[in-house]
Amino acid sequence: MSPESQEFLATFVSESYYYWASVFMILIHVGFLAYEGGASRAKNVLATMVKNLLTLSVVGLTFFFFGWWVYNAFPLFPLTGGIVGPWTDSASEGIVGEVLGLVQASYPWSPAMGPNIADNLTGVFWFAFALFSMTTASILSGAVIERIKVGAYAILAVVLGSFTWVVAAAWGWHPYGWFLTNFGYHDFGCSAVLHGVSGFFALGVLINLGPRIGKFDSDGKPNPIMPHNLPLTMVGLMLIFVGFYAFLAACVIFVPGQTGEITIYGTPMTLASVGVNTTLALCSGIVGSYIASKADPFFTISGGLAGIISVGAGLDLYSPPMIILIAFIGAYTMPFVGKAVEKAGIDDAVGAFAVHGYCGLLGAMTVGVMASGYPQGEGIPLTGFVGQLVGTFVCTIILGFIPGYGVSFVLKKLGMLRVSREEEIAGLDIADFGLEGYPEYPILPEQNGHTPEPAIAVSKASPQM
Amino acid sequence: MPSPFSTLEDFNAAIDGPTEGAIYTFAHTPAINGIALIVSVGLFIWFIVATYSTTHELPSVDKSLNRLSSFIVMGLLSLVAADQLQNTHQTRRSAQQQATPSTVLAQSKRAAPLALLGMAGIGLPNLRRTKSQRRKRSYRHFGSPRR
Repeated sequence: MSPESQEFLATFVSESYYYWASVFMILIHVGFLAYEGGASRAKNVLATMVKNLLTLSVVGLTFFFFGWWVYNAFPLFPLTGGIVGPWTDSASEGIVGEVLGLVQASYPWSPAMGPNIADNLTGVFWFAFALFSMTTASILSGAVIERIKVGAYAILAVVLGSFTWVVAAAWGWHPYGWFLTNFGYHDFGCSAVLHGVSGFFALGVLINLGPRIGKFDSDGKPNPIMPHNLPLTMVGLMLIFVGFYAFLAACVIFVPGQTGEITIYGTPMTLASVGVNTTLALCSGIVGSYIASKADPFFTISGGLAGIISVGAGLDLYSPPMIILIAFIGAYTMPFVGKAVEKAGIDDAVGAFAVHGYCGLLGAMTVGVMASGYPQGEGIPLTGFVGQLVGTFVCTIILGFIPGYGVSFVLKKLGMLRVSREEEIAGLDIADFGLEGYPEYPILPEQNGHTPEPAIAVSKASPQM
Repeated sequence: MPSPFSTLEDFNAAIDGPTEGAIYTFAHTPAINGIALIVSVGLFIWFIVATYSTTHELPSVDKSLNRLSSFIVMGLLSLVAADQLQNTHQTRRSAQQQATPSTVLAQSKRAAPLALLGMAGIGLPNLRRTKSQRRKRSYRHFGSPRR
């Protein structure tokens, strides 16, 4: 084989690897669609699923318009440099020069983004990152089902999926990010960078959005609003698990010229360890939440995800027995956090904060204790508690909770956040589409969180074609 | 320190180092991972035990069994009564026709398994109920007003 062929083969392996990993990541969205659709009541199933579907569009397009540039432009800002963009001197050298090369390839008008035989990898990395972004926004979508306006959700999804999480990734999941270079932050599977940001963002939104009608009594006592299709919810989460294997595999860096697999931080790792550790975390997480929730099916299957997120930050470093313990602790405590959130009067329909926010925070902080002392480069601090604390705080509070609360507060003041009481009681399927998800089956509105009030008269018009 | 390496060079050259390629936490102190493994096995055993103690109790099952038992008992009693009536009638007729007494004895024995089934119907739901359930039920009867 000629050297040119060998070089092309290495490029093709890398290109194919990220391409297929990204394709499998779409299963996360299939899973979210089923999970959230099943978790909603029958009168909201179509609206919930369509909202989830729209996540792909609004985040996919905005990530192309500016999200990919944000990821490449923000790593140095504000501690080690400015935001890199068209205004940056094209003759810059050193780190700024290297970052500028990536930035110039990430503009939506960049030749690297189109069919270009001189660059097989920029587009496939964009593809993988776009799927990461959609995943982040989908975490929010589950928490706010059955009462948010579609437009408000779209705005929040753009802010979260194409900006705040991308800034978190630029700072904490980038070879030049200042979390790494200044504090030795390590978050292989994006525990805080993705899950922590989205979980806390969702919490901020939920405070302004308020609970669903019928969720709480007049004295604040929570009432259960059961999923209309728990089996569909469980199948959805199984699909999310499959997608997460691909997600974590896409966190491995392998590009032509390398002699081994590395993390985004440049440290050695193996894809095999992703397979072993993710599987153990999944198994241990399910066991932990099964015990803690006393076999509640919803919490039990969410425990698998809680386990994976709890170990995600150090998935490349932990020994398998440590994975079992950490995943168990994360998933065991998760249901209690979910119930505490409910007790506080917050209606998190799918437990997004408990699973993603809490476990993301726990996962990132655990690296500071259970995987401390790992070197990540010359002049870069070793992994440790302080570095993890700084990164986790910025992700969860500065880039998660505050933007979520702030943007939803503005939308609320403008009357753009929540559907009307009448629409909510009638069900969003009728109110939005004039259709029912299950037109051939009777629905029992007297049960499951329904308040006996007159519903608005909405004509059942045929859908616009 | 959980990390077996202090420099990036050691980390990258782990395959030639004392851990022989292992880069995971506590690879240089295997005893800790051994303890973690034992704890993991303990958690698994806890899970297996928990599966037996986290079953959801359905009081409605108990009630339905009582109703079913009552139904069976009433049905059996009516059958036994009908059988007895028929036997008495036959005995009188056979006595009148000078029949042997052994026939009457055999016919009354035929009803015994049915009566036993009825008794089991009364007793079985109580056997399935735990002590605490029995106590709770008796307290409920004692303390709560009639609905």
